[in-house]
Amino acid sequence: MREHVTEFMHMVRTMLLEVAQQRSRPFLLAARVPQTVEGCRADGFDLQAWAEQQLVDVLTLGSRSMDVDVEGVRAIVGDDVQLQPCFDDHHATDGYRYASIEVLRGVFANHFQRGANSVVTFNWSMVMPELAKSVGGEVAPLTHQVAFQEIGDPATMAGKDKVFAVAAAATECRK
Amino acid sequence: MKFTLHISDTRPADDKAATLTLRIVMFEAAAEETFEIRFNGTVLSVSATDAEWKDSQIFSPAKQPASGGKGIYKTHPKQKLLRLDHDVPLDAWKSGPNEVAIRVASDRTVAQIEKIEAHLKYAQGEKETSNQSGEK
Repeated sequence: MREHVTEFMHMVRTMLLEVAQQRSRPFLLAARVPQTVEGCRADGFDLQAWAEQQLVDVLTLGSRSMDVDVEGVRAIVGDDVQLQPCFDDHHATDGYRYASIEVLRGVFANHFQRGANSVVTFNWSMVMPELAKSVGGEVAPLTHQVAFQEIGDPATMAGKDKVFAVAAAATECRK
Repeated sequence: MKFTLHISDTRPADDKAATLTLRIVMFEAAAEETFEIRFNGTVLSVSATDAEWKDSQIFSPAKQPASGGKGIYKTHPKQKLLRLDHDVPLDAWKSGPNEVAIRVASDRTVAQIEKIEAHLKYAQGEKETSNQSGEK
């Protein structure tokens, strides 16, 4: 299966290079993949082949877990591919939906410390609470608004309180 | 059991600048039970215990529900979780991956670990905001 997905990526890349040439500016290609090398391999994404053949510019890593193996993926794809871990706050890590700002800082600061070029939020509320109420929409926690002002750069999180959590810690500990 | 806990921040020069607290939340564990907690090999002592801790996003003994939904979580009034806090010495932690080891040290043979968190607080840091993952 992996070779078919790689072939598909090759087709898309070739098409985008043609479009880029027509409009005289780059047309980058991003792909959203699982948060670990093993997960990518199991799902049929041969990241090493993609990197070796220069088939992708940006990889969005994961979604459901706040533990993203940025180092592992970096070791496979090198420095020419931008890596951006993703945090989904609708299908969040178990136990951490609508997390505190301290948890969010810990998650995103860890992504950068582990080598991410940028980060992605997914299923976050983008509107002010008043507007969400007026249209009957879901009012997200104010932590999202604070987070949007901090999480895009390690510098804006430096020196601020953080909570670092083990994702999916729930397990039995035996004697 | 061993877990990897990533810490982004660089260790401060002294513990007056920042403190690190390891919090472990367990289900069906009692305050009198003992656990051996190691942080990068350093044995930690319990600094605070709460045997009545509640967390609306911990569902034991029920199964974890599917993700998503309305995001409205109600704490079961009879829920009793055991929260153990441990001060982590400055020289025991580092930036990057850290190892947390948990071993049952009392007669109990098994315990259900729900959450493992390291709380980094700076001397000039803000107060923690309220959230739904751990009621205050």
